[in-house]
Amino acid sequence: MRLLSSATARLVALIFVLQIAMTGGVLLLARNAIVQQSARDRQEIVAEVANDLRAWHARGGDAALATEITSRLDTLRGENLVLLLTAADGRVIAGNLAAWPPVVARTTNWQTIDLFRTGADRAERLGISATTLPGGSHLLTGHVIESDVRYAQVSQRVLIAAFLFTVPLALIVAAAMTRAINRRVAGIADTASAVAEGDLARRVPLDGSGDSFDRLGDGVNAMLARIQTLVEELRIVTGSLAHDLRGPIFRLTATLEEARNATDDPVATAAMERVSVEAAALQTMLATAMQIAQAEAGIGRDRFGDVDVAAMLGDIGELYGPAAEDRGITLVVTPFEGHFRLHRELVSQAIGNVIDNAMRHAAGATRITVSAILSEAALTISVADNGVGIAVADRATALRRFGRLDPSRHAPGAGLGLSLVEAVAHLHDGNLALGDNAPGLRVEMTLRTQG
Amino acid sequence: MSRKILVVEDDRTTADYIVKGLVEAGYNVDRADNGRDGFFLASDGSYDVVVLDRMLPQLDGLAVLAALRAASIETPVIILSALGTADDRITGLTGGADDYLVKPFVFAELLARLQRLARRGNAPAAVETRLVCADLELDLLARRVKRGSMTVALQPLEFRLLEFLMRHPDQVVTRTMVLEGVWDYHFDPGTNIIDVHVSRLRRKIDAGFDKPLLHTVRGAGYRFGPEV
Repeated sequence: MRLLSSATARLVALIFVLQIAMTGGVLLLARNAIVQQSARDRQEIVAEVANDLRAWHARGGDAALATEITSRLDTLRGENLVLLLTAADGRVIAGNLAAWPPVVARTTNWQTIDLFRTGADRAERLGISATTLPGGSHLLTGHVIESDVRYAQVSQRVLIAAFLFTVPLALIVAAAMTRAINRRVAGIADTASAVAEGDLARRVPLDGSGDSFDRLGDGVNAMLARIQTLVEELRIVTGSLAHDLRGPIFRLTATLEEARNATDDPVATAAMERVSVEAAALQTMLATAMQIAQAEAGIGRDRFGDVDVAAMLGDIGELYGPAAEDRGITLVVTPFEGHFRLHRELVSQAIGNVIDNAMRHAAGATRITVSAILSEAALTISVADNGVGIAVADRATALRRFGRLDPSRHAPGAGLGLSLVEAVAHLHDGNLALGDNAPGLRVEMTLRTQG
Repeated sequence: MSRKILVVEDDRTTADYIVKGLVEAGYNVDRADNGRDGFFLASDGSYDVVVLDRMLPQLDGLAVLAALRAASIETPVIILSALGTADDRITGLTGGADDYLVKPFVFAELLARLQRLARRGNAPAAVETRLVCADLELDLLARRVKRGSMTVALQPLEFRLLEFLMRHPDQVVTRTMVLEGVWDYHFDPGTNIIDVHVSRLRRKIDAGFDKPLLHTVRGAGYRFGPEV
């Protein structure tokens, strides 16, 4: 798995963030609930104590209340309590505060405040309520909530620890999930590239779970089955088209041959000669068109072999060299070392086509150079001439099937030559490019290693 | 003794054309218009060559061929087919055919190939080290060529071309056969590629001699041998 391939990285990140958000959210919620609950508990205690004390006051007035306050503060349970009874004029009657805190109103339901209790060496956080008693005295009841604050701090630390523990866990889970998803996707991708390379019978493996990957695989398989059927039909159609068209052309040439043998009339003989040239051209066109169709359909990949490229180019140079020389053109094959997996016959024919094109159409050419460059995954064979070249605007036309640059169609040829070269390049997962040789045309056929 | 040829072809025009030409060339010809009859006739092994169409009713040409070879009938078979790519040809040849001819073809091509097969069927080629034709001598070991008393200097390719021609003496050899025999290519190289090679060779071995050995056969190809 390539960790940095963007889609995968995004998927890992998404799963990770979702997990973190979920875990963090749950922890925060729990913490807040606990903190709020403890705050409510304190408030209830304070309210209870205040009620109790009011009851004491109702029974015995300020004096009884003062006694009760003092005794309560002495007990263990009073450790965390804040109690203060002041007279209407503000004088302290009993309690563990030196004076009524100025920021606290005479009557308040619940207030949090930092205060020094009598004898305390530091301020503590208190939750207090205050009430005015019958008779005008004031009662302040409170409880230290310092422990709640500490509790909140501890829970925060726990929260962070839990969060930190979650991070690697979430990463592992995210990676594992992504891996599982990638494995399913890879099954589909591998199938697609195998099919692109010509293994039309390949199908996406299904696990029968019926999940969306299985449904995707199922759809892809249905599509592949359809493609396979179409290619097979094309194979049959080209085969029978060849048979059906070649039959009549064959009968035509056969009849011509007989007729030619039967007459001595020079006019008739000349006419029949022209017809047989046309018939031969027709047959060549048909054969080339069929070859193109077959190569584009990927037919012929099973005949690929490890070919000595130098020997192949040498053969072609030998074959075309003398004919080029007769036209005043030097055919040069640049020395080259290397082997490549290709269809020798088709690639040779393609290169021959390009050389033949250059000899016939590149006006003014005196030199045709065939060279090859081999990299790890690709072989580029170029045929360059120093003739007139093809204008950039016309290059697309030159590549089009039946496309001809000579509008009057005087020069022989069906305009299928370069299309065949391109089809052969496609058969080898490659492409064909026309470039400028300054001056002249440079045709580059790139073939790529399969798989 | 005239040679016996069996033509298995379902298209009547094609069959008529082939049979007529072969009879004119002096062959004894039988014909069948479907694969089953073709196999039946060929299975007695009495033919010198079988001309077999690839697409046949009842029994496909390649199936006929496979059945013949399975029955140990080694009669040379030349396949005729409308399927003309290199791959179709290889399928035919690996299927046991001795030659493969793509339709449409000129009769001369068929005749040339047929003659070669008929000859081979009779006498299996011995391992030769020297080819001789009239006063031309080709030494395969020393890779030397002599015409009369003069040594002819040939390029390696010209040597191979001459060797191929000399191995088929007094037969019509077509351009396609030359391309197949010398380069092992089966496509149409375009223009007059082969003619250029042959005329260069001719300049070297025939120029300056009274009796040319390398002749052009109009509409068919070339023939190597003394004038007839």
